[in-house]
Amino acid sequence: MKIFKKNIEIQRVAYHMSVPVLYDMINLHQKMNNKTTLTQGIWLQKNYHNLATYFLVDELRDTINTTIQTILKKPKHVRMVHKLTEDYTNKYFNSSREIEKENLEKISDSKLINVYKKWMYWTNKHHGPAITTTWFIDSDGEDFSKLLLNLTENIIKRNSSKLSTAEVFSELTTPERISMDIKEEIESLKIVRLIQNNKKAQKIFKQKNVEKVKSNLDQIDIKLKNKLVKHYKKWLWMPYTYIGPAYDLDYYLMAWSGLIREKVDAKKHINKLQNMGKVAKSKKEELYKQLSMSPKEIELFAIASEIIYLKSYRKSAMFYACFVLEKIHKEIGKRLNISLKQVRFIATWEMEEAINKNYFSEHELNERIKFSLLHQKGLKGTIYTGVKAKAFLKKQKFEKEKIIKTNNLNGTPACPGKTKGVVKIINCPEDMVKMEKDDVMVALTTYPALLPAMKKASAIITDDGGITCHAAIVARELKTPCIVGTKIATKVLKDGDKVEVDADNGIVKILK
Amino acid sequence: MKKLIKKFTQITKKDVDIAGGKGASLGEMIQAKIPVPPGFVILAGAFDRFIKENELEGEITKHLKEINFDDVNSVTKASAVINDFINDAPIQEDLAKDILGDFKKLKTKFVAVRSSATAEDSEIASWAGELDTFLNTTEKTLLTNVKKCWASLFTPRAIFYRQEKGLIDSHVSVAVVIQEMVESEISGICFTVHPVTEDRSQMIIEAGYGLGEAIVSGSVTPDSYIIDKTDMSLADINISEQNKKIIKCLKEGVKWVNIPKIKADKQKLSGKEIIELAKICMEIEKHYKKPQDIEWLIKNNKFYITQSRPITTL
Repeated sequence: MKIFKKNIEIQRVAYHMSVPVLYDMINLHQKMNNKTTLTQGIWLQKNYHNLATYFLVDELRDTINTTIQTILKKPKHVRMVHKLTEDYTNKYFNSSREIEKENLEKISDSKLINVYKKWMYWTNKHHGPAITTTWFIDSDGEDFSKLLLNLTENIIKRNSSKLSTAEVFSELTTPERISMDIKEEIESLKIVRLIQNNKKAQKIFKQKNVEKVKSNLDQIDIKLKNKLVKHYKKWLWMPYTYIGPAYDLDYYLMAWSGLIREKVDAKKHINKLQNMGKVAKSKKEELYKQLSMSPKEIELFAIASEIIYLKSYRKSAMFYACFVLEKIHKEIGKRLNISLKQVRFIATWEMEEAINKNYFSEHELNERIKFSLLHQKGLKGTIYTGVKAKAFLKKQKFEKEKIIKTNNLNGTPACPGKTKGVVKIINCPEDMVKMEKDDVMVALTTYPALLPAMKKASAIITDDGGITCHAAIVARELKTPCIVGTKIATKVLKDGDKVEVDADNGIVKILK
Repeated sequence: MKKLIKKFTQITKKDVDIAGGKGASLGEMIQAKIPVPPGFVILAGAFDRFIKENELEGEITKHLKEINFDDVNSVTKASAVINDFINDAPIQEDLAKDILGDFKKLKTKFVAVRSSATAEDSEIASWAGELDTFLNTTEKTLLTNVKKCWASLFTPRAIFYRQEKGLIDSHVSVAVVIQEMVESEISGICFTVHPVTEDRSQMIIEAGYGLGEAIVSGSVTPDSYIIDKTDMSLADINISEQNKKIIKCLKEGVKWVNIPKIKADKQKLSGKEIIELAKICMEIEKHYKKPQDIEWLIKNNKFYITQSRPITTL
């Protein structure tokens, strides 16, 4: 009997994302391993939440093992597929940029369909080829991270070195290219410099009240003001994830005003961020020499860094695309007389007919929102609702989830360091009000909208894992101790718990 | 003698002092070509004449004066006594004849009979909702229900309210709206400005099965739809399962009935209908130049507006 196993659980999402992604996973993963290892997946949806995503346990394990073998045996092929994925992702970005410029209000239904299809084309295609390396290998017990961690340990032992495993591991896997988030931060700090060098602007931004800053904006030199607005328009999508919201201008005004009042040394920070890649590279090279690493080992860590970079890049591309999609969805909603939320529950394969008819059953969409599932089998996706969904699930066999009771949590050290603090569970932007400086942030997983909380945290702990997850990447950029892949941290810990975090060894101790 | 009955088509918003807030608003909407079920208003003067010619004024004043407001029983008692006086007194023959005559002209079996208070103080208008409404009234009970509407000026609730507002001694009167009863399949309310967020670019429509009283009284949780007024798009839709509804009985009055499971969790209005209704409500808001609190219903795919008043809480 085939058994399904839980693989992902995503917050704030709908079928506009899962339909193309599941299609992508099942039908394009072959590119990496030249072999079909996944044939089907089940996505459970309730309201805006993905309750769980399942794959067949045998297929999932086969996918992971085959991919790791490919990385070990055919590194050149892996890097070629990564290159291809990056190329697709570039095209995905460009296509979204073009769509963002479209004026959709007055175009005909058939033109609107074309815009939608253009959006769908790269969404369906962009990350499938590298899905096995950028998602699956660390999605079921962090196989790849553990392999690299063991290898790091062996290398250190072999050299009788006194270096810490966590630190070496972290340095060896840090990408040499900076992420979109860092790019934005550099540009944002450049704006801060411009404000600091302009007396009038500085005075305006020194005000604590953002409303006052906003109402005084017109007094600023027009060139500078245009730059502020341009920055906001260029980057507002960053926290969008799948259903938004994007940043508003207030967010940036508040952020800049805060940095101005803190008298931040923008130049120093810019230099540091700009040099991150170079620093990472030279540290790596130093370690290669110091630990007499073999070309094969070096290649393996290079691939790991590449995966981390690529994963973050393709996510940014998808967030931007989802931000742009909102505009298309709103126009479709207007023509079909349905809400944005309802449009997000129409599957990609249904959209053309819906636009042509200017109709889609509201009841069906409401049922999907209430509870439904997507079953992707090969090329064919099917959505079930209500009793049919329940009947479908009854026919399948699922692996039981184990919950362990413990005072200690274990996970993978993603960024070294030790600290103590008070736990705050942060799963969505609304939770962030709880977060105070130096609290320990605990989350199912993290994404850009949670960045303000991550910046306040003295340590970050997640259920989801892998050195390639968002939490791990950000923690390393922030140099915040971070443990990922605990699987159960959000279930074992609760707000107010005092914990000791040892991110050198991946251990969280609950202090009573 | 001055005419004491006017058709909706003869009334405008300037007639609040004779037709009451509700009556004047219905007339005004008809003038503005808003789909309102037809009807007429028994003007406040009819009530005044009824009181005067039956010599009830002295009795009413006397009983109101005797109330001790610290004692709920004394309010209830005065209310019951005044109520009896009104019920026992006859409506003048010529007036009764006119009311029944205009009723026949409506060519409908059932009407809704609603109180529509008038007073010097405009605040009184906002307690119109506190007065009584009798749905599904037939020719047989029409006059009784008109008198019940008149008496509703003196329910314990109304007396308390007037005392609280310091209006107990001022002259109040009541008109009665007689309106063709359109048995709604779906009905509800609309606030042309979101009442919670007070966002003027959004309106909210609530919809439920059956007669509107179920929603107005808060007995069922309706669907709610939020409309972005800037481009007439649907900003949000929330479906609420509805298991029972109020319908009119075959003969007289109303009753609760169960809704079949298959219908209970459906979206009450289609998206197209929501936008059509939103456009009507926009028209009403535009006409009055003020945010409105509107009651509406739909029958045989046609929308009717049964009431509109300004939102006073903004």
